[in-house]
Order: sequence, then C-alpha cells, then structure tokens
Amino acid sequence: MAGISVTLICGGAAFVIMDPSLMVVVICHPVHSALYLVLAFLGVAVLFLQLQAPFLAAVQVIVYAGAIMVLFLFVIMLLGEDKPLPGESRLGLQLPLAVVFSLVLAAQIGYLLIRQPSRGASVAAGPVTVIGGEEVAFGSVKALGNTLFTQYLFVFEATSVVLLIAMIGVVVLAKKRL
Amino acid sequence: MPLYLIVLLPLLGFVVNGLFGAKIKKPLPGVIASLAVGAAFVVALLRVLGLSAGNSATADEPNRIVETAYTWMNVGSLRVDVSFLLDPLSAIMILVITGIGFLIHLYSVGYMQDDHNDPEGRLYARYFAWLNLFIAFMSVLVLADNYLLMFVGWEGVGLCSYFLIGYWFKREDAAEASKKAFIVNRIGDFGFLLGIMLLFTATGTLRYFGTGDSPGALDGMAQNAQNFNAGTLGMMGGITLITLLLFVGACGKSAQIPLYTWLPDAMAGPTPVSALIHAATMVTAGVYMCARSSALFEAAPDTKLIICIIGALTALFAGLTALAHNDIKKVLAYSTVSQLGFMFMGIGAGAYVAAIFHVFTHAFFKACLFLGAGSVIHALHGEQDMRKMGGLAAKMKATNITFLLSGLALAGAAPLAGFFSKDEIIAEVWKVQAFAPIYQIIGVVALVTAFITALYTGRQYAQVFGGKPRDEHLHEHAHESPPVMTIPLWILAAGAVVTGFFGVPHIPGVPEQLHAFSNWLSPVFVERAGEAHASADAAVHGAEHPVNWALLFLGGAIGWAGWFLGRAMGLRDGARAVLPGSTSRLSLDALYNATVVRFGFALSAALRWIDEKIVDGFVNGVGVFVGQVSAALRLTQTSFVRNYALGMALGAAIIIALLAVR
Amino acid sequence: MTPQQPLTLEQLTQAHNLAVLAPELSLTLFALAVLLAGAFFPDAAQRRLLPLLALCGVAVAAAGTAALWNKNQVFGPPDSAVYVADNFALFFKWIFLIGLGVAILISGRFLDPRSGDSHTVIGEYYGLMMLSTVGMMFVSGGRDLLVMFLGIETLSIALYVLAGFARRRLMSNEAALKYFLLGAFASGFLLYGIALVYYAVGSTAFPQIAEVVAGGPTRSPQISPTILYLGLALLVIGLSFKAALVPFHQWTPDVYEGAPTPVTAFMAVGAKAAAFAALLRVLPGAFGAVSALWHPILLAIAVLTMSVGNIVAITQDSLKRMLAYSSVAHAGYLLMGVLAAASANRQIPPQSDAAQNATAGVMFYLVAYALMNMGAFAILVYLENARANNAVASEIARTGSDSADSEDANIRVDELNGLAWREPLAAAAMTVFLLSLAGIPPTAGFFGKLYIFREAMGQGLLGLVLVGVLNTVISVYYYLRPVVAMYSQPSGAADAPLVSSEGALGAAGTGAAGALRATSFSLSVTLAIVLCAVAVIAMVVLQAVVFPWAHEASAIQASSQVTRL
Repeated sequence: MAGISVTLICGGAAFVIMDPSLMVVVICHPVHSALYLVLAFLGVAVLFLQLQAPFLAAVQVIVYAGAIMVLFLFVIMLLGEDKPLPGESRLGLQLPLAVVFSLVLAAQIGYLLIRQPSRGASVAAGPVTVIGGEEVAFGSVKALGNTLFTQYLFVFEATSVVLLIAMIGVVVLAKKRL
Repeated sequence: MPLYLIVLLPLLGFVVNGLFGAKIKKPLPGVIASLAVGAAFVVALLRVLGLSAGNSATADEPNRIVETAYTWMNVGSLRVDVSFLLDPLSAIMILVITGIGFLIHLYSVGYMQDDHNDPEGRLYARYFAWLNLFIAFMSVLVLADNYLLMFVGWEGVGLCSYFLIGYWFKREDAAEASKKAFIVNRIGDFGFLLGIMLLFTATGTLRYFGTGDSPGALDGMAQNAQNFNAGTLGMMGGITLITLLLFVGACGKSAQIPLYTWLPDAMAGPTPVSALIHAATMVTAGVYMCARSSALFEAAPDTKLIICIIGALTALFAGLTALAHNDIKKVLAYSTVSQLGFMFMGIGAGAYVAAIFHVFTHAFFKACLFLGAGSVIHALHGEQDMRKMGGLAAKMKATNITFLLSGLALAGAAPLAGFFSKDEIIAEVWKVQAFAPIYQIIGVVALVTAFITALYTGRQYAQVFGGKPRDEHLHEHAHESPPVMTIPLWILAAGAVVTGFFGVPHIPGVPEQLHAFSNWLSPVFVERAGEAHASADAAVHGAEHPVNWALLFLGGAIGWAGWFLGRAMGLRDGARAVLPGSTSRLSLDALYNATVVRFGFALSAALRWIDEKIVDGFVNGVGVFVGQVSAALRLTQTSFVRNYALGMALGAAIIIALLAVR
Repeated sequence: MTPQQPLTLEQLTQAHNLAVLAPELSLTLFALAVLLAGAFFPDAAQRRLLPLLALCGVAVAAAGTAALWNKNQVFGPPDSAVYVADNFALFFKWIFLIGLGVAILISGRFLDPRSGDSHTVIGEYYGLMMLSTVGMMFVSGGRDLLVMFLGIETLSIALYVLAGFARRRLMSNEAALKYFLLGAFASGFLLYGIALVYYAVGSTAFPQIAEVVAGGPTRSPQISPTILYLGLALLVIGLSFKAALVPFHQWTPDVYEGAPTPVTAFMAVGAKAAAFAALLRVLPGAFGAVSALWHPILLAIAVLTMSVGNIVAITQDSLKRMLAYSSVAHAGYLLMGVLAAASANRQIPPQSDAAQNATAGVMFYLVAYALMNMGAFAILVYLENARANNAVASEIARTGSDSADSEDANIRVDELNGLAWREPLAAAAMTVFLLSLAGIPPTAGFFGKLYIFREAMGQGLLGLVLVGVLNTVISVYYYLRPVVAMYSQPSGAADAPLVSSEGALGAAGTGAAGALRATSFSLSVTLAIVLCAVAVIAMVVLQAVVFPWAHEASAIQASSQVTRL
C-alpha cells in the first residue's frame, strides 16, 4: 500500500512540476509565466517532502517560491512589461521536429527508468547518518549541515565564486550607461 | 670534427641570411650561403675519408659511425636521440647533397643576380636562406640514425621545397604549384609516418641499428620476419603492410604513380631549385629511405614486386609524356620522374647498390641538364618553349658542350655515366628469381623506356641547340652565362662523364678498382633473399656474364640509336616549325613519319591527356568533392539557436539509444 | 557504503589545508583586487595598470601551482576529499594559466577608449577572465562529479558574460545569448546524468564510482545497470557540449565568431582544456570499467568531430570562423588520445604504462594546442587592432570625429593577401602557428599529434588513426590558404590595406598614423605573438621537458582512480 501511495504522490508532484514548467515556456505573458514557475517550485517542494527532506522542502518554498519569485514579479511589474510578448510565428519544421525529438528523449528515459527491477523500494527508507553517536535522519538539518560542512565544504565555499561571477555579469551586461 | 657540423653550418647560413639578409647588398647573401654549404662539404669529405680509411667492414662489424648530439625525447618506452649515422650509404648521399648543393649554390649566385620577377632584389637573401635550410634538413634526413629524425628531415625538405617552388609568389602558377606539391607530399608523408609508427609498435624502437644488447629496428629483420608478422603485430603480413606504407611515403617524395603530379608543376620554381631539389637530392630521398630499410624490404617480397611494377610503369609513362612536351623544363621534369622510376625498379629488384648508383650518377647529369636549361632560359630572358629555340650551339659553347655530355649520359650512351647505372638496374631486374616472369617483362619495359629516354633527350638537345634559330629576336640577344654559372656546369658534366666508371659491371677482366662503388656500398645492404654471395659463387658468375655482355651491348646500342633518332626528330620538328613540309621529301623521314611518329606521338599525346585530365582531374576532383561536402554541411549551420538545440536533442537521443537502450 | 565517521572540528581544520588551494585562492584574490581597482581608479592612465595586476595574479598562481607539484595533496579528509591537487590537476592549471596570461596580453584594446564603452568595465573584464580560470581549475582538481559540475558552471557563466562583452556589437550580444541558452540546455543533461549516476552508484566521488562500476556495475542488484548507463550517456552529452564535439558543436562557430577575439582565444583554449580534464577524469577514470560500452560511441564521435570540423573549415572565408572549426577538429584528435587511454586500460592485463602515455599525449597536445591557438588568435587580434586603427585614422581625417565602429566584420582570408610584404614578422609568425596547427614537424603541433597517434596505433585503433591522418591531410588545405594568401601579391591598391605600410609590429609610434596606435597594447600583443611563436618552435627542444611532466602528471591520475577488481 505504501508503494502505491508513494507512486501516486510522486506522479502527482511530477505532473505539478512538468505542466507549469511547460506553461512557463509556452505562455507569452511574463507575469503568468512567473506565476507558473511558482507552481513548479511548489511541486519540487512536495517531492522533497516525499523524499523525507523537510528542510529542503521548506527552503524551496521560502527562498525560491517566496523570495526569488517575488523579486521576479517586482522586476516585471516595475519594467511595465506585463503585456504579452510577441510570439514567434515562422517556426517551420522546428515545432514538429522539436515535439518528436522531445517525445523520443522522454520515451527513452522513461523506458530506461521503468525497466529497473524494483522501483520505489530503495527510496522508502533514507540512509541514516551517525553523528556523534546519535542517529540522524537523512534529510534533517543536522545531516545536511554535516554533509555540507565536512565532505562538501569545498563545494559550498566555491559556490561563492559562481555567485560573484553572476553578480558581476549582471552589472556588466545590464547597466545602461557605464 | 663532429658530424652535426654538417647540419649546423647550413643552418647557420640560414639564420644569418634569414635575419640580416635583407640588409646585405646583393651578391653577399649568396656568397655566405655558398660558403656555408662549401664548408659543410669539406667537413663531410673529411669525415668520409676518415670512414674509408678505417674501412675494415665485415658482416659482424659493419663500418659505421654513430654520434649522439642530443637526447631528444626519453619517455617511457620511447627514446629518441638526435644522433647522426655515417656509413657508406649516408656517406655517398651526404657528399652528393653538400657537393652538388655547393655547385648549385654557386650557380645560383649568378642565376639570381638579375631576377626579372624580383627587380628590387627583396627576395634574394630569402632565396639563399631557404636553400641553406634545405641543405640542413636534407643532411638531417640522410644522416639521421633513426626513423623519427629522418621524418623530421623529410618534412623539413618538403617545407623548404614548398617555399622554394612558390618563391616567385607573385606568379599564380608558382603559388598553386607549391600548394599542390605540399598537399600531395603530405599524403605520402602520412603513409610514411603510419609505417614508422607501426614499425615502432612491432619492434619497440626507431633506431636503424642497435647498440650493445638493444637491437635496432632493422637488425636481424630477415631472420625473424616470420614471428614479426604473426607475433608482435598480431596480424599477418605485418611487414608487408609496413613496407607498403613506407613506400607510400617514398611515392610522394619521389614522385611515383599515383603521387607524381606535383613534380612537373614544381618547375614553376627557379631553375637551380629544380636542379637541386627536384632532380638531384630531395626527390631521391624516397629511394634512399627504401635502400636504408633494405632489411625490411628484403623480408617483404610482395612489396618489392609492387614497387618494381610501379617503378616500371612510372618510368614508361613519364618517358612517353616527356616526348609530348615542348617546355624545356617540363621535359626534364618528366625525365626525372622516369629516372626515379628506374631507381625504384632497382629497389624492387633488391638491387640497392644499383639504385643508389643511379641516384649518384643521375644527380650529376640531371643537375647539369637543369642548370644548362637554366643557362639557356637565362640567356633567352625567361623563354622556356623549345619551339622558339634552336641554333644555340654556336652562341653558348660551354652550355652546349656540357648539355650534350650530360644529355648523352642521361640517354645511356656508352660509356657515359647513365649507361652504366641504368644498365646495372636492368641487368639486376633480369636476374631476380622470385616472380621471374613478371620481372622479365619489367626488364623489357625497362629497355623500351631506356630507348624512349634516349629519344626525348636527343630530341630536346637538337631542338634547343641544333638546327637554325627559330626566333631571330631571341637568338640575337642570347649570350653565354658568366663563369660563376658555367664552372659548375663543367664540373657536373665531368661527373656525368666519369662517375660511371666507379660501377662497371662484374665482368671478368675488369680491374677491381672499377667496382669501387659496389665494393664500398654492398656491405650496407642485406643480401638479396634466396641468393648466396653472387660475386663469390663461380657458377652463378659464369652463367651471368653472357647476359651481362649482351645487355651491355644492347644498352649501349639503344642509347646511341635513340639519341640519333631523337636528334633527327628534334631537328625535323625544329625545321618544320620554320618551314613546314620542307623535309618530308626524304624517304627515310616518310617512313619514320608513318611509323614511329604517328604511333609514338599519338600514344604520348594520349598519355599527356590522361596525365592532365584524368590523374590531375582525380586529384582535383577529390578536392571538389570535399568542398561540396563542406558546403552541404555548412547548410546545417543556420545560426538559429532553436535549430542548434534541435541538433543537440537529436544527438542526445542517438547517444542514449546507443549507450543505454539495448 | 561505509558509515561516515564523524570528525572533530580540529581534525576538520587540519584536513582542510588552505595551502592546497594556493593557485585558486591567489587567482581569486587578485581577481577581487583587479575588480576593486577597476572600480576605484576611474582614471584611464591608472587603468592601464590593471592588466599588469592581473598578470601578477597569473604569476603568483603559477608559482603556487609549481610549489604544489609532486606533493599530491588533497583538500579535506584524505579518503573522502572531493578536491585534490594531484599533478594531473596542476598540469592542467598551467595550461589554463598559459591561456589566461596570453589572453590578458592580447586584450589590451579594451583599454582603448575608442573601443566602445567597454573600457570603463575593464576591471570586470579581467576579473571575469580570472574567475573563469578559477572555475577551470575546479574542474581539473575535482574528484567528484559535483565539483566538476560546479567548476563547469563557474567557467561557463563567466564566459557567457565575456562573450557578450562588446556590448555595442550585435554579433557579440547574439553570441552571448546563444552560448547561454545552449549551455544551460547542456547543463541540464549534465546535471540529470549526475543525479542518475548518484542513484545507481550511491556516490558522486570518482574513486567510489570506479569501484562500484567495476564491481556492480550498480550499488545493488536491485538497481538496473541501464540507469547507470543512462546517467553516463547524459554525462557524455553534457561534456561533449563543453568540449564542442560533433554533434554538439554547432554553437562553436557562431559563438567564437561573435565573441571579442581575445575572449574567443581564451574560450577555445581554456574551456576546451577544462572539458578534456573532465572527460579524462570521468571516462577512462571513473567509468573505465565499462569502457566497452562507451568506447565505440566516442570513437564515432571522434571520427565525426575530426571530419566535420576539418571539412567545414575548408569553405570558411572568415579567418576567425575557420579557426573555430579548426578547434572543433582538434577536439577530435584529443578524443583519440582519450580513447587510446581507455583501450589500454581495457587490455588484459591492463597496460597502465600505455594508458599513462596516452593520457600524457592528450595533456601534451593541449599545451601545444594552447600555444599555437593562442598565437593564431593573437595574430588575429593584432590585425583587427591595426585595421581598427586605420579605420579610426581615416574617419578622423574625414569627419574630424571619432565614431568608427570597425569591429563589425571579421577578417577574411583574402584580406591577408600580401601581408608578408607589409608585415613580414606577423606573416612569419602566423605561418608558424598554422603549420603547427597542421602538424608539420618540427613544430609543437607535430609532437602532439605524434604522441597521440602513436598511442592510438599502439592500441590497435588503426581505423581511427587512418581517419585522423586523412583529416590531417585535409586540414593542410585550409591551413595553407592563409599562408598562400599572405605570401601572394597584394590584391591591388583599391582594397583598403589591412595594415598600413609603416608596419606596426615591433615598430609602433612613427608618424601621424603611428601616433594613433596606443603603443601599450600593440606592444603587449606583439609580446604575446613572439612568446607563442618562440614556444611553438622551441617545443622541438622543450618537449623533452614538457612531455615528461605530462607523463608524471598522468601517472598520479591513473593510480589515484582506477582501483579495479
């Protein structure tokens, strides 16, 4: 029974991610696009929850769906671009081919994922980490912090370089008058 | 004196002329370059004399000197030294290169003095710089003691050849010809490189000869060819593959079918360059390489047969084509291709001494012919069409006599140099025992080709020097070249006369000194497979010499007969150019017209057509094809991001399908 | 999976020895200094010192890399460290620093106020280049898929911005956007691949992956190997995009052509080297045990990459675009070395010596490629600068105002006609670079090809070598085209000469036209050209030093990863 409910939740969350994601791209109205993105983020948060990572789920909602998307919406509103963007009409063969290739890719990946013998079984119980003699659940803040600041300390710190580059890049590319 | 001086001196000349040449006044760069090569020649001569003084060569202790200048790379299993090898084979090559190179440098000083393609003389120093660099690389090629170093020299001379063919780069044909030469050579070079790498894979070394307990690539090859084939390389016929690849390299450099098309075009370069690079030295590098690898070729009889057939075809084909050309340098170029075919016949017959002997004599008389042609072109202010020449004998005495002597040598007229060397090759082809019928057919082809050679040489001489002048204006201004040009001509012509006597065939009664060449050289090469010491074996010896005598007479007769027939042709063609039909009254001429000329000219014209349309067409066609594929692929470059993303998705789908979906 | 042992704070501090990060840290610090200096010193004269400061950073980072050589240290607990400073990584760091150093030298035109508004963000320009190099270093030192991914993102995001740095040129904007969109697409593949591999193996660290893949190939029999293979396929796709392998190469010509030329040079060398560092770590390293699976596919990719790159390069008229396709083709040759390394490891018993030689061959080729490619692009920058100056000079002469935007069109091959007359040294240097790219001895490019072809041949990849050889012959054709053009007659006086007859190389600043040339940047470009040309030629001798280094570096790489059953 547990297996079925896991599959259902997973499938539902996946649908909640995929459908809005598609809409973000397809829809021509920037504000609607942004709102669909919020929906997609929420779907991801559900997936995190289902994977027993409540902290990440919370971060996903607060930081991404909350802070970042609100910022996005502010920017869009401030720019006054809340009217539909002109759509590209002359796509020619591109559209059917794109649909075909995407379907082929999706079919391949889906086929490969389904082919595995016992799906869902190994994710039912997350691995347990032992910290200071005490067992800690996989998705907890403690376990996450432990991983982030011991094994992946380097990655954590190195991310700052990426963020710095992104900031500089935005300034260089976007500032009107230098 | 260390061997590397021979390489270093011309290199020094290159550096001096390359850096400061533009600032030096005119004849000086030429003098510097000549001195550099002259000094290299002196060093080479001293070292070779030293080598021959210590000549106590036996099979166990070969007569060779190896000097390591520098350890080039030493990584894992690969160790390559910059080390130079002097043995009888490289001794002959280095003497020819530096000696004839020096003479041609000297000649160039006069020839390039007033270059009408370069009136300001801005290129003068550059010319000598490249020429010096060429000598340096060529010395590396022949003195190298391993294949990789040889390859560096090999590519280096190709590069110098590229720049020297395109020396008059304002001329469209020169730029095109240089590019063609370079690209065609690259095809050969990569065959060569593949061969070298396979050889390394099979033997684990690139040195020719081992030292101490580490054997070289060529040591003991004849004995363990079998396990070489099956064991080390993991494929049957490994040695055949290696030798064939090496021969592909030789084909490119030495202009054999199908990679010969670049050499006639290369005549767009200055004439001394044609003499040095495209007649005497660089184009014989392929022959040298095959002779150097004799141990490998002896273990691959199939390859030898192929080489012999290709050599014979090239010789015949190029000889016939030479008959149909009227450009004084083109005739000589095709003649060079043809003579190189003779050398490869020698290689294919396992007669390495004879092949190298022909390289040696050919260097003299062909260089002399080219320089003589250069002298004529110089005198006629750049005119190269033989139909406009004629009657120059009186005006240019020195050029006339030297051209005559070396022409006779090329024709194989007894007893000049070409007679002995060419005859030796033909005799050796006759004697091969494996695949004997095929080799005998090749021998007949060789005799026919020898006749054709005499024919076009005689024709050329008669057209240029004989008869009456056909272009009075040109003839009036003709003058003999300065001594700096004629002295090299005399020396080379003397060589064309006497060098043959170093290699008189082994016939009873001939004094031992007249076999100096083969006595000096034969210890270098592996015995021909399945043949005991031929010279020592009395029975073989006895059976051999009637054939030798017969060939000797036949060869001599063919040479002279062809020469005179060709001379008659040339005179008649020349006369007809002025007075059409005037000579057709002679009955002999009518007969000759009806038979030889009709057939011969039809054939050679057809061959010329094949050469220009089909072979060239094929080479060009490949280029056009690649260009069209390129243009088609360019269409996929739409510059739309979405299309690129589509391409990526398609590629991803294919990769996933191949890698994971199974 | 062994349960993780907790570490005390003290142990952690000791394990994370910052000295291991000396090259990355010093380069980052200097990048910050350059950024701040650019912000606080608006004066043009003071800005001229920024490239000097950046070069100091390069020197310090190079020294730091040298100090770590042969120490084989790791950042973090020895058995679970995700970041290492083994010789493999250090060798690659040198390659990146060569690329960065030369790129800084040839970027001088951004200092010129006439080159648009970008001179005011000059600090950001150099800073981004240095930070991008830091990202490349992350890739080379990462012993974990996450570090690799982070490094690739770091270098890519900086490159997206740099490609669009010439903001007034449409082509540059277009290049940036294209690179960003397609790069993001490729990153998606890469990340998905990493996730799947993590699921199948239970770790993202290369040693663990190698161990599990050799034994399993997944961590439990319940997990189908197809998941792992799918992950591997996605990884291959993502990395292929970064290395510009066919069929993921289509962005290359457009982006290379549109980006400012110094950025193109930096991108062509640094990003490609980083991608190959990742490929070497991932394919023969972590996934060496299943090489039977990916080997034929990468073989096909190598053949396609060489052939498409070379064949399409033939019909290019723009010099920059031709070099772009040429760099695609070179990726194919490099891949040949990767394949040879994998084949050697696959032999029974594994020929670790041959694998090491092949890896070293790839690394040596990258050094040669860096030098000759940087040199060729430096010549391109030199010619562009000269043309821009001429255009500006004529513009001022005509209208008295300075508004020439002359960087729009790229230099065509036939514009080189007769360059040897006006600029003998530049033409000679270009000839050296092109001959080296074509692999003519005795240049650096020849030795690169020699080492790689030899190893591929030794592994019996005869067909692949044949294709490579054929391609080299094809490539000679288009590499010779500029040479022939340079050494042929100038095409009449009607064409505006690319470089005026005074000749700027080495003799800047004579006469009225000379005065317009900002000497500081033309000197630095000349310096870059001379350095590269000398290095390409001197490789005849230097390779006896460099190849053993590469050999040593690849030894560490081979032993630190492949612990196979």
